[in-house]
Amino acid sequence: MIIGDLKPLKEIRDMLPEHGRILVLGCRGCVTVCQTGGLQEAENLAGILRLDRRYETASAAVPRQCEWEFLGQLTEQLSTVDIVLSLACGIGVQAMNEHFPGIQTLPALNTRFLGMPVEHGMFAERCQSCGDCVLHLTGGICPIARCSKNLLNGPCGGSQNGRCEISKDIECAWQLIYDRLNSLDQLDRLMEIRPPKDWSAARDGGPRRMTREDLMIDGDE
Amino acid sequence: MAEKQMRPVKSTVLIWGENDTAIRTAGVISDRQPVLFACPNQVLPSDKYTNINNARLESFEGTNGSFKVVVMIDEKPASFEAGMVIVFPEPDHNVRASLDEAVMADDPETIVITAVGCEPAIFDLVIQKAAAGAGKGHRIYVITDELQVSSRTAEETCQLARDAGVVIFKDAGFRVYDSDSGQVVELTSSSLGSNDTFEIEADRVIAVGPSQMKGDYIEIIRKLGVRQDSSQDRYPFRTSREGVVIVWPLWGEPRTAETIIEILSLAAAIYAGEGIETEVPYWIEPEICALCLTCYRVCPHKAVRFGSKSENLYGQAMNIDPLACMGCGLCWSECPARAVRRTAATSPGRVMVLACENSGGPLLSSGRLPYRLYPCAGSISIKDMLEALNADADRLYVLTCRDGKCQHEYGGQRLSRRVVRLNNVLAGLGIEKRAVVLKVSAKDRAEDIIRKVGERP
Repeated sequence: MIIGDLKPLKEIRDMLPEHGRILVLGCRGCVTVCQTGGLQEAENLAGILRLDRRYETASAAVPRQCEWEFLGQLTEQLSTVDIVLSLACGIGVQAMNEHFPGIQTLPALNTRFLGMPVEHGMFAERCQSCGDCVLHLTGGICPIARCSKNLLNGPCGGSQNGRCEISKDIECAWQLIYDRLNSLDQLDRLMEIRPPKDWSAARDGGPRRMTREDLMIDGDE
Repeated sequence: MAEKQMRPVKSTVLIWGENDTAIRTAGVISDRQPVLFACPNQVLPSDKYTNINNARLESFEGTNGSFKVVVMIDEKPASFEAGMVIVFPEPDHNVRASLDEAVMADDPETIVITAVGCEPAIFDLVIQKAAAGAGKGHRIYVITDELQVSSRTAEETCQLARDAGVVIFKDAGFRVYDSDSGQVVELTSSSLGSNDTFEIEADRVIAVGPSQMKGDYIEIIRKLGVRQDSSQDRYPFRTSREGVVIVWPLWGEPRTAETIIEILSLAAAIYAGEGIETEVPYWIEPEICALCLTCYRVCPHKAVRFGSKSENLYGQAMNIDPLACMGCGLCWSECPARAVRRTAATSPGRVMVLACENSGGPLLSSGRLPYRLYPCAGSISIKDMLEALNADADRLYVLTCRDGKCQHEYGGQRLSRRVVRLNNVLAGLGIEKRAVVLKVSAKDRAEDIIRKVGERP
């Protein structure tokens, strides 16, 4: 899921106006699960800002901040505030700004990566949404997201004891790939020749769009 | 919702052990209820109950009254259901022999003996041997805790040992690690006068206490999902997981075996009743729950389950089992979606102190400070703290248990970290209010706490 965490507090402090009424808006989706933007975090941050006597605050959380219809539920409440501080990922912040252009929605989180909890409270990156998944070829370990250098042809040779030369906290993805393919008896996959990766499917190809034309109904048929 | 619930329970009792008391307990309980007797090695079979020899615990799930157990018998899996589990771990060393060997050593040695959570008779033995060793010229340190020395005779025995030259720490947090020259015991004790850390280079470290058990049993207890809890706060032999009972080794003289067996057979009978009616202190709203698994991971008593069908978004709901819930409230304070609800009422009004009822409660009962009690410090949420800070106070005091004393494993720890985060956010946003954590126990004086809270920041 999408993992975000709270921006440095000085940044939040600087982006807020001198005084006013703030709605701290959470999201019941991914940011609830990674403990940074759910209803509890929204209520807490609103409660903390209220201690600063310059602000009046309210808090709320919508099921997903990236859906127009859920945002529509906020119309009445928005007429009572001056600014929105969103605890959603960047998508939610943008959706709010698009749907309510008359009021500014600020990001309280930095959206960090797509990842999963490896233990309670610790989230690790697993996917870079490159748009051209190769997990069937690498024993289920992603060389884009988990290799510091995005290598597709094997290890760089800088790893030590299965750890990346960049940081001991990072496992060498290609060591993991090798070990897994070995256990699956698929090491011959590493000898297969493939055309270069199509990076236009990744962010490198520009802002992306996915359509399910079967779900989209035109006016006339 | 907040209503009484009935749930049927299995009457089968699973016993793990190999010593005489384990076998006798199995015999007594099996007069009334089915018993499975599992042993990592072999014991003599009995007609009264099912024997499982050469058994290894593979997995253990469920809650009080309905545990699902998978046991490997000669490395082949076998599944069982049980309502209750009793474990009789075997100690990993003969305490008498270890102490004798240490004391009788010819060359003077520095010996550290840790004795926490022992039965009084064993503790007396430790102190006597320590005194004998000091008399023989060894430098002896004993590390224990205030609960251990709270029995009638313990303080007298300790004084005699001190007169003989033994150094006794009654409240040390300690850590043992290996160094080039042997073992080092690093300890922090307020009886040293400050909170500094003190290191002892020991020739020998002898650990006496419930956690010293054979490897097979360490593994069983790990799979059972209970911590090796040396605190004697739970009686009789209850653990952090309701329905799992551990009769820690070194529990005392033979004449107490009868009492132990009676208590255990009574507990087994109670657990196996027709169904247990209980109020639900905490429950989860399935429509709000994001299934983030926080409550499931955080619960010190493994009382949260998931997988039962629900009409919510995910088709599954998280459930708090009222038979396993011990009411600590950690789930309530940690839930990021505020999906956990509680029946406890909170009193309105201005408070200066929030406290865990187990540690701070007795100290605050004089009532001179406005305070509010919680079942565990871990259930004191940031929202609670903000409500208290919103009044005119710039400082909020939160009382929790001393390290290692929390009855709910790590409620105090979670609270402390929560406060650190809260204070960081307050400081980062330039707000001059703070929450202050005080770790207290029954040995603290109420006057000291009251004076500290009353001090100007």
